[in-house]
Amino acid sequence: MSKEHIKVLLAKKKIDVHGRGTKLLARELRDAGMEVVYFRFGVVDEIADAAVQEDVDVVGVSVMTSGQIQIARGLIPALKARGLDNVLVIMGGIIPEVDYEPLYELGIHRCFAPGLPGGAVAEYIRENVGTATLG
Amino acid sequence: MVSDSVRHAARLITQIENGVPAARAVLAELLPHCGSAQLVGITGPPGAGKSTLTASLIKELRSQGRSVGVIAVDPSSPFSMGALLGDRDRMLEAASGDPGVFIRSLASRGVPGGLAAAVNDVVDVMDAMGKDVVIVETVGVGQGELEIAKIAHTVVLVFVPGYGDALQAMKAGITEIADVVAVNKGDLAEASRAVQELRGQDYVRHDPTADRTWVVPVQKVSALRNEGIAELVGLIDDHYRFTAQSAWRSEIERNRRHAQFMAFVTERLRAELASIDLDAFDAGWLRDPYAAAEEFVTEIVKARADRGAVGLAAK
Ligand SMILES: Nc1nc2c(ncn2[C@@H]2O[C@H](COP(=O)(O)OP(=O)(O)OP(=O)(O)O)[C@@H](O)[C@H]2O)c(=O)[nH]1
Ligand SMILES: [Mg+2]
Repeated sequence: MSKEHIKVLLAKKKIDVHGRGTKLLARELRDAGMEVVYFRFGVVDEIADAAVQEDVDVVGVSVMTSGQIQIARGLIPALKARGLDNVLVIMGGIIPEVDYEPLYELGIHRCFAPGLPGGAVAEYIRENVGTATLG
Repeated sequence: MVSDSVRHAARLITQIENGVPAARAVLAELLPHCGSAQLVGITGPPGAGKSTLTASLIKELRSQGRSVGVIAVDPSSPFSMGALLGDRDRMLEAASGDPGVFIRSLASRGVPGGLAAAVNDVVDVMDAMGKDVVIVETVGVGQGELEIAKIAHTVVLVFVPGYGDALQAMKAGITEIADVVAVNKGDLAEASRAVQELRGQDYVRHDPTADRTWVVPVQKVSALRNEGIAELVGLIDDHYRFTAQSAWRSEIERNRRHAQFMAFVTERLRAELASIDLDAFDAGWLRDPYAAAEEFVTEIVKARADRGAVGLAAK
């Protein structure tokens, strides 16, 4: 599905100091024609609140220092509780591959390995935005 | 229930951004609930600390028990049409979980005049949501500043020390649009000198509706350290009250509604015109599009004048 203006919320944990990855991705998504809001979150409700108010199509969470499972477990219901049933939720950063399947079961649509070119993320978003559901 | 209305408001704002005609009807329904929000414009050069200052303003206003709506506008890339809608760290931190705060980022999308129109409508949405104060943040580079000036009751120009040439350019801006000047990064050594220099200029704004002037105050702040913020809010409120002591306030609101009227008419007519099939145009008209356009517009204006409609007389 294509959409004229795709809006993305990129969030990374406040305690993760490696900010470059998220900012770089933000720039790459902008260059791919998307509108990107990025910020650092303390608790997942902050992501969900921002996602509603900004009315984003995509939520991307970067995790560098573990905690991905808890984040997903909190985030998906928080998004659903706010009526965001069609938002595409992706994760990136340092996530061990063994966690991908459990994360998908929790409702995350896709995990990206670090160092992946931003083009791949943009392409995935473009192809899947608007078709995703949070079951 | 509350989150439901937030979701509705957020989606309505998206429709406004996308120019979806259905938004218009909803906006018309909201109008009776509008008119109580205090509108504050925050503008200034790139990197002056507008977003950081907005975050401190949110905190200060919330501590006073006032609810806040924020519309933060950032430029779209002219190449990709994508946009980096700023680093919302501090703003979202100030808002964290607080239902009294609603923050929305907008990309300018490069539509001339379209941005101001959309922002005007988004202001109405936040006003109707019952926000006591609505802050509009835009980068001041040329036309944007003037457009925002028409929207806000009070325009705060954020200025930073050590800008050199930019200072001169900003000075021109001050006389045209600023109701309050905030010299940010007051924690830096050069700030005091900039404050002195700007205060020495004795900037004033003339009340367009009465024979009185508003002396533009210059306030040193540090958005980063939350210094001078309560004072800044005090000055913004002073100006807001000052405009109510004459017809100035209603003049500002009239200007805003006029800008909305212009935008609505322009957009509606453009859509109407675009829907006319090329075959419907007279061959003569297409040979001389200038005369045709003149005739077309005159016809509309004359029809209104003939039935005695006020406000748009035929030339
Ligand atoms: N020293 C100091 N730095 C500040 C202060 N306020 C903001 N900054 C810094 O200035 C930089 C820009 O701040 P922003 O708030 O993003 O500025 P902005 O005007 O919104 O920027 P644009 O929206 O990109 O035009 C950041 O690195 C801030 O940390 C302040 O009071 N003191
Ligand atoms: Mg900013």
